[in-house]
Amino acid sequence: MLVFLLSALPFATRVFAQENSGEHDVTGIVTDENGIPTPGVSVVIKGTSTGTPTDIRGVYRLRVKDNAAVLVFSFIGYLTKSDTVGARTQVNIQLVPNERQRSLNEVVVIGYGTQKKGDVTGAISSVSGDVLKDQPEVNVLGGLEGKTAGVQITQNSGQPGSTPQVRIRGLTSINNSDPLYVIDGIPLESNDINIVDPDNVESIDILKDASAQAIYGSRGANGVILIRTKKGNKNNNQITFSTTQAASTVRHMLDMLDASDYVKLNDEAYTNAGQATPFANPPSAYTNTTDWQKALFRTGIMQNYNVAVSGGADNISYRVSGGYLTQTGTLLGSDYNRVNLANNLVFKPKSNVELGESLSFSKSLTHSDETDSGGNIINDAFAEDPTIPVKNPDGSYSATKYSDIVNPLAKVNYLYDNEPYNQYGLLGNVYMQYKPIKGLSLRSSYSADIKFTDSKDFTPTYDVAPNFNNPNASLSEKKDQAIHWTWDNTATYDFTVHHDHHFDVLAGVSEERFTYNYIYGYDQGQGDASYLQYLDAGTSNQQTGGTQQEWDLLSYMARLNYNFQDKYFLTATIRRDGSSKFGNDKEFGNFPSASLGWVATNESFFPKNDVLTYLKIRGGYGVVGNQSALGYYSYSAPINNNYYAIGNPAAAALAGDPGGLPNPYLQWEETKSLNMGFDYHLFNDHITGSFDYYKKTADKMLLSIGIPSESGFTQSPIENAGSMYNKGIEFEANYKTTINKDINFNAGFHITTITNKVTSLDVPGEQIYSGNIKPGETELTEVGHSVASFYGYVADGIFQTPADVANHATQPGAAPGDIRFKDLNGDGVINSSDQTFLGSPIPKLTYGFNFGATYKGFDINAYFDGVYGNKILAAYEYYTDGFFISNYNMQESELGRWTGPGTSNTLPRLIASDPNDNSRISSFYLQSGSYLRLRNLSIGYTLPKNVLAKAGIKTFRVFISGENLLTFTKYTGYDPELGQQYSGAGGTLDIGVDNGSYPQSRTLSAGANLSF
Amino acid sequence: MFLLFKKINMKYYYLALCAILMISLGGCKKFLDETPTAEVSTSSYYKTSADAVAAVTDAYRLMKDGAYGGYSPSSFGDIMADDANKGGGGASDQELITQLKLFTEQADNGYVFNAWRDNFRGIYLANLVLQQVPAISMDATLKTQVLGEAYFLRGYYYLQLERLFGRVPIVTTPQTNGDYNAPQSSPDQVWAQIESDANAAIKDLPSQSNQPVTDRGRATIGAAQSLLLETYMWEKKFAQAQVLGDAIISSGQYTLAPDVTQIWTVAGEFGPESIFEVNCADIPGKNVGNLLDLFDAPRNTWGYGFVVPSVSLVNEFERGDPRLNATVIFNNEHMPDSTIANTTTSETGYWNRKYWLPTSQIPTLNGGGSGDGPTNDRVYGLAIDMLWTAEAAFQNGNVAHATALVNQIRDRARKSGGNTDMTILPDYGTVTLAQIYHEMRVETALGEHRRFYELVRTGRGNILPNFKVGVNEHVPIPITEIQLSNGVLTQNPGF
Repeated sequence: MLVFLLSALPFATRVFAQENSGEHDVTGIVTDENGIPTPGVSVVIKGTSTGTPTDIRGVYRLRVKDNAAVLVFSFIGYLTKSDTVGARTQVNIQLVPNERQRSLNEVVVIGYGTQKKGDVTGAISSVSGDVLKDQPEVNVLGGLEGKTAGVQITQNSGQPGSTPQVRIRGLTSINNSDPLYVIDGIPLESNDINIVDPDNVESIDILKDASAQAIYGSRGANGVILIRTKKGNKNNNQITFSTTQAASTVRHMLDMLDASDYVKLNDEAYTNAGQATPFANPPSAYTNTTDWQKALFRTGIMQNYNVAVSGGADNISYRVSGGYLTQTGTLLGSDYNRVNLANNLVFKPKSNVELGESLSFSKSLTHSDETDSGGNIINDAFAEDPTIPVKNPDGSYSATKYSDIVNPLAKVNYLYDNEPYNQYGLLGNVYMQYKPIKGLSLRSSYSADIKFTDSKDFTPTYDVAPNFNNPNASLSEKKDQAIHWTWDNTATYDFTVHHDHHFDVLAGVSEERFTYNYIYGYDQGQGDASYLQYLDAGTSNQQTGGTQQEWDLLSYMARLNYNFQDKYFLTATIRRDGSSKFGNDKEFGNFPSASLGWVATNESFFPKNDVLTYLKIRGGYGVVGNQSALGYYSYSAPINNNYYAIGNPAAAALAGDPGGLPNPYLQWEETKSLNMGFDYHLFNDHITGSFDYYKKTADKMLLSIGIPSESGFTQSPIENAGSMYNKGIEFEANYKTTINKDINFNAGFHITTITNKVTSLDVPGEQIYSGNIKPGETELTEVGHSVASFYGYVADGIFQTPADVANHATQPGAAPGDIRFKDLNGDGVINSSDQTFLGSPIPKLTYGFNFGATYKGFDINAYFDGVYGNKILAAYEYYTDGFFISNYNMQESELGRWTGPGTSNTLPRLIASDPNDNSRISSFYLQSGSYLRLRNLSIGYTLPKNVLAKAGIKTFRVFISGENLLTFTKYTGYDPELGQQYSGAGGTLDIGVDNGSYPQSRTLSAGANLSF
Repeated sequence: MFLLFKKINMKYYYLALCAILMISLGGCKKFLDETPTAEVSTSSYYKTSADAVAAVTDAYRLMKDGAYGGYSPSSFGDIMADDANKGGGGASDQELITQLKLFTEQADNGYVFNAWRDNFRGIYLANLVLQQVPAISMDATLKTQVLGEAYFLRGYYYLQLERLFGRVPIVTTPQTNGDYNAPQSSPDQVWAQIESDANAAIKDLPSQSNQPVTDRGRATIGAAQSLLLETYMWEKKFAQAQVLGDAIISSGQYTLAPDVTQIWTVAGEFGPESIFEVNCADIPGKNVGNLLDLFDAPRNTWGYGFVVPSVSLVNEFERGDPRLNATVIFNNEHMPDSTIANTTTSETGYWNRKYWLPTSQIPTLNGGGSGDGPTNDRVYGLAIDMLWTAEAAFQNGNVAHATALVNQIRDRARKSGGNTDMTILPDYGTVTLAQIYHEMRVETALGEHRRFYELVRTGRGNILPNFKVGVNEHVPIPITEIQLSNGVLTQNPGF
């Protein structure tokens, strides 16, 4: 009876409810911000546990009790929405993205794992692969120029195939400041960044402070750039095709004198020195002028094609891609062709086992021109005699009889065109990941990073001039291999204690070996025809050589990430690295770091407001290392095999030649780095950004310093000598808004300051000179000043009259028309004590800003960046501004030189003997290097989806863009953004000296992107 | 409950398994042991007899004229005086040499720096031998010889430094890390060091007749004695000079070559009067050749045309002196390889004959590189020692002895080069100092690179244009060396 009554109760209630009205069914469609129906959205009646997810068409159906019921719609990445049902039977909702959650949940790649952006406590800049699109970049880094705070990228854009120079938060160390590149977890040692096709890049994360870098221990000090490539997605099978076509021209050339002015000014220089002029005819007789720069530069063309297929099924996803790039440089004789093939695969045979493989292959062929300071054809183009034609009437290359400049086009034709450089790169990885129990993941990953190069250097016979002739053809061929393998074994365990304490622990061991070997052969006597350019065709003077070098790294690492209620964060890392480059007992170094974060806005006491919607304060400190300057076996010194003739008749007797002084006391170089800052969101997440203060001190810097020659050497062995710091602030702000359903707008701004100071060098008073040009060394690194600061005399106008000369301190050889140098110590004599620091090649400020907007299918983006506060030493002026008269051509501005009192206070008189040494290193050569540049402007159009759907196409986008369209600068040289002067670490201190470096180009490009 | 316990156990079991796997897969420290490949290194060197010989052989290499890349005796000795003009490809070609000649060189002159650097490297290598070889167990005679060669070389390099710079630091052992700053010594101290090294070498070195032909080019007693003789001449210790000079002449080891014009040929190397030569050969790939063959070869043929004979030098020779044609190439001259000389593009109208090679010996035409010239540099020879002895004898009042020596040289010259006119180069009745100086000039011009030093040694530097007495007897000490010495080294007066 009771049971019957009890069971009847609900029935009764229901009948009762119906009669009460309000209870009814509600249905509706939930769409996202683009109007697309969204499945899986949770729809819950507020205050109850009744709910249902939306189905595949975004539709839900619920029964509510009364009109007062409130439906709550929630979905990850979107703001939760509530709506009172009232009497409605249909309630449709459009979701609004939760920008903050999205941004905080973005995945950031950190070493050996990933982290949510919201949990990151170190200084990490993330750039999405999308930012790289629309730019005709040959490699990944080119597209990053000017885009993030704290990262300065300089390209050597006239030299196709070359990799840019990257500096993260300034020059970290005197010997080598290149960052470590890690592609999908594989650190690059053999290959360079060209192994990655820019079209395959998903995202780039840059680790800027020690707490992030410490997991890379001994190689993290200069910063770490982590690149993640695109992977397949099992829900999205697609084929993508993209192409870019670009044309580049030199932005700005120097105006040089025409033929008759050239002769006139050179004549004047000889006359002023009392020497006879070598020019037989008067200036007016020279009427034909050759523009050598125009002859040497051309429009560079780049074409890039890329196709990718990706997709997946239930437990497997894959991506395969191929790319082809061909580029001719703006400088004659330089070009680059490259093929990239890549594939990756992830296979999950069981839910807790994952196997993966990835393979990238690239092959490139490069022809490059010589542009370091010895043999620079750009300098040749400035200085070459404009009175001679490029080629003689009989078709042979002309030669000037007035100077030692060699016809640069002849150099290109006979030398650089015959020096092909082939490079084959392979980057492969296999890994296995196993999750035996919840939270624990074991991973073993093996990578191979292999590069083979093959360079041929053929010198044909030629006879252009007495100082440019070769009677005997010769061929030198070199083949080398760099093989680097890495084996990482890591275990991560993440677990939660008492609901609020989240732990994520990593422990691992890593082994790496790098082996480099080469062989080369040389002989002479080939014929000039291309089919004879092989060693077997040579007849004499055979030489061969070859060697092998090896280096190992053994590391142990551990990291702890702790998160309490998403309010308090802690990251602690330690890595212990052992390297074979050190002597016994000195191999291991420990690199610890720790950082903390506090999300102030998650505190209950933090007032909820619409202005400051998110604030995370963070700070960290750590020690990381730098070992790139070390040779493989620096702890000992080699004895090289040389020879000396002994005996009659003579035979070559072995002469054991010490190559250097050994240093068995070598240790790791350490950089201690402090970072403090905060991330913020303002105005309901419309503005996001961050602020950082950093200070990093490099200690025990590996240096080889100049030593007195009485030691038997001019350079010391590499020693741990010296310390230097860099400090500054970084600030970033990004603004995003949707104006209406058709228009979106975004803008961003970032600024970085750098202050650098050398705090100690091995020997008190030690001076390191760098930036060598013909008149001498231009830069000095000394304790108490910024590294590689310009150093020389202070030029203070021109003497106009003999009285001026007499009234000034004694300056030997000076006469009216010469440069007056300041008497800095007031002793009445101008000598080497009157030199001082003249400025720094390192900018005080680097900054950038961008705007972007979309309207229906159109989008437009513009990126600006600039630097401020640095100086450039225009070294080419030694040749072009009338000092060293050996019949080199000069700039048009020379027409304003001093020819009598009052004619000029800036350009000295022309005199062949230069008794006053006007050409000495002084502030005469220095110019401001500040610039602001419209780096990239692009306009694109994406065809509407409904139009494309008919053709079975998923997306189709076309764009046009321009690089370096506008530059605002006071610098009169080719370009204030100087490319690399020297290859390799030797050039680290040779910064800011413009020795006729490759100019940046202005590029226009167009492209299309199609996916099925 | 039991299930929970088991679960916790499983967790720890897995964690423990991880840890063990980690450490075992992690490898061991042995992984980091690498020995330097492809080359011997200082940690494994100086152990055998072969090491000792190779070490001292290396020290000879710094004697070669490195032209524009290294120490260049011909630039200082010939061009920075009145025997030769620079030559080359015009005013801008190696214009630093022009500054040397005009005595306007700055302290950052590359040739000056190279001279300092290369000679000190030679001293370092000699010091290394003297430090490391005594401990090697090897044949005693060979060890003594090796050490003797090191003393000779050190003395020789200090002579180069002293003649050029005057005030140089004396370093007698390899400097260890950090202390690269020996104090600057006075010329007297440096001369004393050279004397000491020369004497030590004389004790240890074999005589030329005891030296196997396969060892030619290595120092002998005669070489060390000649070094000491030159030192005495600089120090004006004429009494000791004469005694030593006479000893060398009467030692029976050396006789004047019959034809002086054949000495400067490849066939004439290591002839009867040769006391010490810098041995060079055309052996492709081994870099044992002489760069001066390329540097000095006529510019209208295979070379760069530097060190061209000056008009002053040509005018120095007496009528009919066969040594003129052995020193200077004239326009339209018929050369021994049947080519006709063309000197129209030479700055002075002459080309350098001492380093001239016939077509068959030009290295680039027979498998070698341009730096593989076979011509040896002659450093000491009997004729030079005889002339110094004559000068010393003259200064000691033994004019007759001096005259006899000079006449022997002239007799030999008269009978050289196929000459049939016996009236040329008449014997002197009593020789004058000027005539001794003249004979030295015509005997050694452009070959031994001695002109500048002979002028300065005998106080005649002021005949050179722009020469400032009290300043230009020396070149400036390189500015970078002064800067690196942090005040220990000071510049020579006048620079």
